[in-house]
Amino acid sequence: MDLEKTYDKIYRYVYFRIKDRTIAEDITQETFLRCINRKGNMQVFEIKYLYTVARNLCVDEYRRVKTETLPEDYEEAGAQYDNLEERLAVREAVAGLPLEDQEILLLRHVNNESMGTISSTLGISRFALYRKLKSAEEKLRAGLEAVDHEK
Amino acid sequence: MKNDWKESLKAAFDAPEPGNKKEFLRNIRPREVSTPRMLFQQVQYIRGAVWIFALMIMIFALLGSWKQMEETEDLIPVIMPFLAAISVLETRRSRKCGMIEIEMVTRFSLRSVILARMLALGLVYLFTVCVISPVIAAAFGGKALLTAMRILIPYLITMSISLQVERSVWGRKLEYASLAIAAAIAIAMFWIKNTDSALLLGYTKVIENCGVLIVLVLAGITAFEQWKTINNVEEFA
Repeated sequence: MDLEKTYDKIYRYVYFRIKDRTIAEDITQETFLRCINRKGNMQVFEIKYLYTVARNLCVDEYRRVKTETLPEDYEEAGAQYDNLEERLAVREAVAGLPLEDQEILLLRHVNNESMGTISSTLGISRFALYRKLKSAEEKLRAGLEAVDHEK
Repeated sequence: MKNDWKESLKAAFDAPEPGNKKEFLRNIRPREVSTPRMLFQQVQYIRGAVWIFALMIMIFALLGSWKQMEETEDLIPVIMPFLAAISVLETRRSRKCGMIEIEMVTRFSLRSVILARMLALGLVYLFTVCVISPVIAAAFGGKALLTAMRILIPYLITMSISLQVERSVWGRKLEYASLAIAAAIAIAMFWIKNTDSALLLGYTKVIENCGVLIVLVLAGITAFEQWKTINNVEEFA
């Protein structure tokens, strides 16, 4: 397992849920530390186990802070890319999707996780996941078209 | 999903660069390594010359026994001190090669590295003695245990004195002090065998009567000296 890539995936996932760089990094590191304490060895890490721990820690964080204000650094992410207009359009379309759809799209198309890992992380069957993924992709496509029409 | 959408999607979910990722990952690398694995790792860092010397002793003993060369029985105890000296030299190689600074910051402590190397060498030498003693004894009509005592006594004397000297002030200054000690022990063994027949008779009698006790005492002293060397390793290095 490439530890650095795994760290990036977990951090991206946590940041998506928390939207705060410092807390996201704390939760990511806490996830790794909890796994070390239980397994005693980094080599035996399973990505789905890390996702589950990270997800639970995010839930704990939601409970602790019940407000959902965007942090200052939220808009900074991705601003260094080319085709800024198109990327902002996608971001807008993604923001219009339900949180669960966003989560599925992130895990599948950004973190490139397998259907097995995602279904295990979200606690749903593969079939249900497949349907939800197709639905999320459809909604995103529709959202993008709507954004295009507005412009 | 189209590929260009995927790229845009990645950007949409992009997170700011984490602040201390590298430092965190460096700190959580696994530190626990099993003893056999540690031993195996350290075996690879012991110089080839050490293994070749042990192998040559074994080949010499086996060939000498097979060809019935009478000198074999007398020469092996003379060579053994040099095997001990090489082992002691191996423990101070870190300083000689300027590796001490690097070893001190790696995942293993220098103490554990030296302990593992000593253990690996000790196990191989024990195996060598276990193989050559019965072969020599069978070839020249002696007892395997007595032959083992005659081989081990000069080896253990050299080891215990060399380890003590290596820790002393002048021992640290003199690069090859243990080799000089080995040479002295080897000359003494050679002298006992060839110069004075009364002394040889007395030496043989002592080994026959209380060889096991002498070896046990010497092994105890050597183990104690090694323990002291390991404990003082930072100062020693």
